Amino acid sequence: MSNVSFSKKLASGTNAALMIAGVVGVLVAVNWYGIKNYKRIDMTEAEVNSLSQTSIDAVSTMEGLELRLYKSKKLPKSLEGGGGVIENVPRLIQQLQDKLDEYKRASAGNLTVTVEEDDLESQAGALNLGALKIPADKSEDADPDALNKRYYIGLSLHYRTVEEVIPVISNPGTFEYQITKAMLRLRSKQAASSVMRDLLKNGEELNKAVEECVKTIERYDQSKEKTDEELEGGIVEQMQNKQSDRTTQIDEYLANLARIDEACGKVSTQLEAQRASMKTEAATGRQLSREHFESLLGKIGWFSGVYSAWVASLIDEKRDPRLLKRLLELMKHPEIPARTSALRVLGAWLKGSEQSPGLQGPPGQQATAALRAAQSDESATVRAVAVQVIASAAGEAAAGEITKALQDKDETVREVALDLAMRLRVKVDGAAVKPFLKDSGWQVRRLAVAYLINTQQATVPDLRPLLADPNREVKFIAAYGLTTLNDTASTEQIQQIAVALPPGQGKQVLEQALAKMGAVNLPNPTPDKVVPPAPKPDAPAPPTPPAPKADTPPAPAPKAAPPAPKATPPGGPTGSRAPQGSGGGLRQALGRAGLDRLGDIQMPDPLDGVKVLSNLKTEINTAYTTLKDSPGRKSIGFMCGHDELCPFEETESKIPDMLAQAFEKQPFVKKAVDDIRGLEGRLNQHNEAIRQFFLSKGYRIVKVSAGQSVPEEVDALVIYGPRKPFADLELYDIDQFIMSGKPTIFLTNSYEVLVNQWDDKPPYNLVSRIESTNTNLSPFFAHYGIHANNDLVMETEKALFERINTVNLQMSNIGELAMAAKYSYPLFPIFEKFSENDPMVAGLRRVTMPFASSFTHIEGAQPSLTFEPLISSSERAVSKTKDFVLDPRSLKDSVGAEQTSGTMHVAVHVSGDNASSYFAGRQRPERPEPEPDPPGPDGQPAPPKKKPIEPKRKDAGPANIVIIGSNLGFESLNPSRLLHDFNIGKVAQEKVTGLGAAIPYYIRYVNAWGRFIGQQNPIHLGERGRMTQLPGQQTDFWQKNLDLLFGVFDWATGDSGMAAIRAKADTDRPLKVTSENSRKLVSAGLVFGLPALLIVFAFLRFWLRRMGRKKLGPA
Amino acid sequence: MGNIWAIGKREFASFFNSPIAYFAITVFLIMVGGLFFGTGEFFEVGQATMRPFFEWVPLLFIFLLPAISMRLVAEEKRTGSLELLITMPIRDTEVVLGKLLGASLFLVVALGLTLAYPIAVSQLGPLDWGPVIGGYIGLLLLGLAYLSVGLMTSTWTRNQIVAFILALLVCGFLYYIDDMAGLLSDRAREIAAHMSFQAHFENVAKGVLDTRDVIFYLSVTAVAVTIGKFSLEARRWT
Repeated sequence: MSNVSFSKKLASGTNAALMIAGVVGVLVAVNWYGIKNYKRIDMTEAEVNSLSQTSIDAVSTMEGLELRLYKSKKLPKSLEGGGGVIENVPRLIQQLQDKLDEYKRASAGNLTVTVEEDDLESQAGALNLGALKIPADKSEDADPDALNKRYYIGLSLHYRTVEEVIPVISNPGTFEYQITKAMLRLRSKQAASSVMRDLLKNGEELNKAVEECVKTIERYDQSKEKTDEELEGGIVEQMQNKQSDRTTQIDEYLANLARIDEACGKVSTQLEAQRASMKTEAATGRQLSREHFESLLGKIGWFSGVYSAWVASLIDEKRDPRLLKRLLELMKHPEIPARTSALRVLGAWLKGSEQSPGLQGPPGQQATAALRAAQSDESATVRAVAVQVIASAAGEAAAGEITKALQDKDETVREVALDLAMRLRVKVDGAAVKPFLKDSGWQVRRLAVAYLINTQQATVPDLRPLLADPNREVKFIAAYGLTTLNDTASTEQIQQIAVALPPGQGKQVLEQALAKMGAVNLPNPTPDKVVPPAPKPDAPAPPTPPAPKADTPPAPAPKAAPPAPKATPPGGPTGSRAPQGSGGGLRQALGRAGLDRLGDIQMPDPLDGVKVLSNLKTEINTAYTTLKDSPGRKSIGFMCGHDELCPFEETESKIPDMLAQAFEKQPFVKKAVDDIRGLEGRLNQHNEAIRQFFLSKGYRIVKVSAGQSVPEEVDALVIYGPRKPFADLELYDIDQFIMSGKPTIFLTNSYEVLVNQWDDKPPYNLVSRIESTNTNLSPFFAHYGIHANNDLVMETEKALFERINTVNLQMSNIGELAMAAKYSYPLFPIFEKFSENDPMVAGLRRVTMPFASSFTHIEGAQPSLTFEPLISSSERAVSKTKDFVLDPRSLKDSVGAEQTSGTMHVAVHVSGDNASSYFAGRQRPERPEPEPDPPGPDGQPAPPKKKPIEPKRKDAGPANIVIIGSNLGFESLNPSRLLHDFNIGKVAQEKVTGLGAAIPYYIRYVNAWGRFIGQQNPIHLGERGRMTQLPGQQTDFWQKNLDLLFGVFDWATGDSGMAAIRAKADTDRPLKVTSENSRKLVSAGLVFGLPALLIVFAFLRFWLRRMGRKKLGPA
Repeated sequence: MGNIWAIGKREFASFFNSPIAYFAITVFLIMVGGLFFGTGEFFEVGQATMRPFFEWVPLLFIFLLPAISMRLVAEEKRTGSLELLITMPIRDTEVVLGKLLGASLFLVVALGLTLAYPIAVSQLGPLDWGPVIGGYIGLLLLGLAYLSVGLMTSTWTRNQIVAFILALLVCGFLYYIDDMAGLLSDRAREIAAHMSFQAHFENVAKGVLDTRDVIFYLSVTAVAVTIGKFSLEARRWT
């Protein structure tokens, strides 16, 4: 029986299990199918979870578009990077894949999506992916290995020949914005690339050639990290091993030099071909791309030079005469460093030719001939090095070569020759040197006079004219020489020179010499003592009488060695002076290889050379990436010169280094100097961070200096918060830009307002102040039909006041305390009315415009222009032009009693195809001659600059102007604005008070920074909820204002649909302002009232049921 | 169908004929309110959004709904009334579905009472109703899945507490499965993410009604109901 029961149970159980498994199987299949074929309905008001029309249009018209999603394998739960924290990575990936699916569906078959997971770590650099890490606060849960690991979640988009990379994609709210923006950018890049296909192709080939060269060199690199066992032995043994390894490595390179040369020779060949074509071909593509290409060529020129120097240093290691041929080839290399490196090696060989039997006979003659030929090289650097090398090899016997070099057309070569003549005690006839007393180079004059004095060939008639030399150094040495010649007739002039000298050793020496006029010879540098015992071309120059030091700005001290040649820059005949002009990257890449004093490359060790080449390869790769990225890149010009927001570093300091050094020994002044320079540094940092922030958001901004015509590459011009009047010429430049039809955007505040901020004058009290910005733009605007009301617009409803953070002084037991205080402030009005037609403000719901001014339309001013209000106030707004109340406490109460002005327009857009110029019928303002460069150290004026060619004037054309009546809270933080009246001379005079001289400027900085929306590091501005509020900052409304700004920028650069996409990320829906009691009522009603009602209902129901039962009576 | 409706009605009425339902809903409403205004800082955040509500309610459901569903079958088993039910001309599937219907009506009432929240919020600011509607649909689907899991565990035992704890564990596990999948392989994590109640709910609460989420919740419900049905049927196998 029990067996039967068990069997029945088993059978039923099995049946049930099979049925359940069947159901589960069917449901898994349904889910699987559902995942592949799903439908979704976006129920949100603005369809924030669906693709916008701009995205659909973009993806459906780009045939062959490919999108690659890079995601590391085994992603952790949380990651940090790209400006934020991803709390749930798997979910983010799912959301991203959903979004990509949406794009795919909308693309009508145009888009291919692939996922790349393998080997991302090694590809990240080339792909330009941004790394993510496990957040520090999650490190406890993480696998220790995973903690140091880098993870990647990024995208790359490929369209025909161009690509765009999104290094990190981490915010679901901005997926669509980032992807669509990249698509649009890709489209314009492709359009621009097709015009300059050759330029890009050539860049690619050059880059490849460099990579191939470095790869070939690295193929023969035998070095590897040694284990502890391999490093066994004592220090001496290890050193010996190291030396042996080095020798083996060099042998390996030399043995394979032919193969390496074959690979690397292509770099040089291609480079020359490109340089030649750049000279002959007409410009293709935009100027920006050509500049990038030229920069790439410059860097490759350096690479080629360094490679040659490396080869020369390898050959020098062995000094094998069989390699002489290769060395002589280098002497004919187009790159200057190649020739100079070979020259130096050749010189060193010839110097020790007794020990080099291979150089006896014809090879030696060949080498000597090459050396002599170098003296006639087209490059001054090579000629200068040649004379140095010959002098080094031949010593005094090189007098003939030195004398010949003294006649060289290049100042530097002459200077080197004179220097050598002094060092080597080469007796050159004074008559040959005397013409150099009139040389255009002050260093040459200085050396000539010193040489003549030291060799006692100087005469009074030679030196007297030099007392009037514009260079103080020359004057001083000449004066000193005349004292040694006992020229009493010049005493008065020499005394004047001595008096004019600042206190210091120089002054002392000259005064002593004057006192002993005719009784003493040179007190310190006698000719015998001057000349170093073992003269070397690289040795320091001979000392001249002590140079005068100054408390006032001194003339630049003469260099200890000859300066770099000016006639032919290093880096090849057409190369640029890269380390000076190419930024720190190249300088760093050159590393120890560095430049020597003549500007060519010195290779200290061939093994280091490999590292240098590798570094340069990275630099070149970066330059190539920049070139590749340049087509179609839109630029927004920020005008600077009227205290606008000008987010660029200011390189010119208020207190140059030289001046700062002069005050080193004056502690009070030094304190002020240090403070001001520190402040300048901080302000420059802020500006650089702001620039980088814009760049990170995809906006390339360039500086447009007032007074210069707007560069052609600028696609839109922004005049952001000017505070100074514009000169006619500046208005003309802006006007001509408008006439070109490109968008021009003004953000102007009519007033500069301080609200409870510190006064920058003693006793530094809290003040509130209002001043007109007085920019004289009103007539300009009026010409285009816009009347600037020069008012302050306030909203009267409390719900439309943003809060202001101010400082209040409060009395306490310990005196007055400065306390941060927030107030609802009508002068920070919130505007909610936006144009429904204009894409610039599409999707915006509210912006806060601090100290906003309004504009009205002037009917008939320019009938062809359309006036469209972009942002307007409510009907209950107030416009005031006088009797301003600034105090937040009284203003919020009194504003309600003000007479309302109706709807005011605080941002307007004027556009049309045929506007007349502001300067039509008027004379064009004359552009002044460009200021010449400051005079050289010799006091001689620099050659005048050529006046740039003026673009053709346009008196009519399309106009596209946007005017926003507020700076949206983004203040100018430029040193030129905040430190404009700083005067170091005044500080120096006041000495003690100088100690606190920087205080007013720090106050201005704090005030300006306090008014600036954002946080200390604006790079993070883009990350919602990740900012730290600082006292005095109006941080509550920054994101919406940025949305407005970016909407305008997108429109200006032709991406107008982006504003609507960005607005989707804005899910802000603020509550109406309600009193504390109303809030309590609502929360109590819902938390307790609702359950209470339910309980009452329950009791009622039970009571009724009970009553019902009672009616029925006992059962 | 008539049987299912009859059982459902009877079940629903039985909830409200005892103080249990009122007590449970009262506690639920007080906790929702406390979390919405207290921990969620509704007024401090100052946004017309129901986000805190939809963040907390799924968590409260993990406790509330198993507490409701625990008695559905276990209580009948304990009192012996199940035998009576089984002797009636009703199929086991109808019993299970009827009980689920009754519990679901209870869920609708509990959620219906919370509609006071979006109504109040919409008076205080510009509420986007899309995510609210999505959120409520999501809560209904999620609640249905929770209740079916509770019903399933209730068929396994005659002890209500055991049924409650089992349901709590299963629901909690399915809610947090993707959070717990940190150390699994990529593929396993992908599956865990798809199995997660939380991930599917968040999607719906954003205002996106996605067939994948609907299919998922209904699938879980179907599996739990099927298991519950066979578990109930197992009594007859002897």
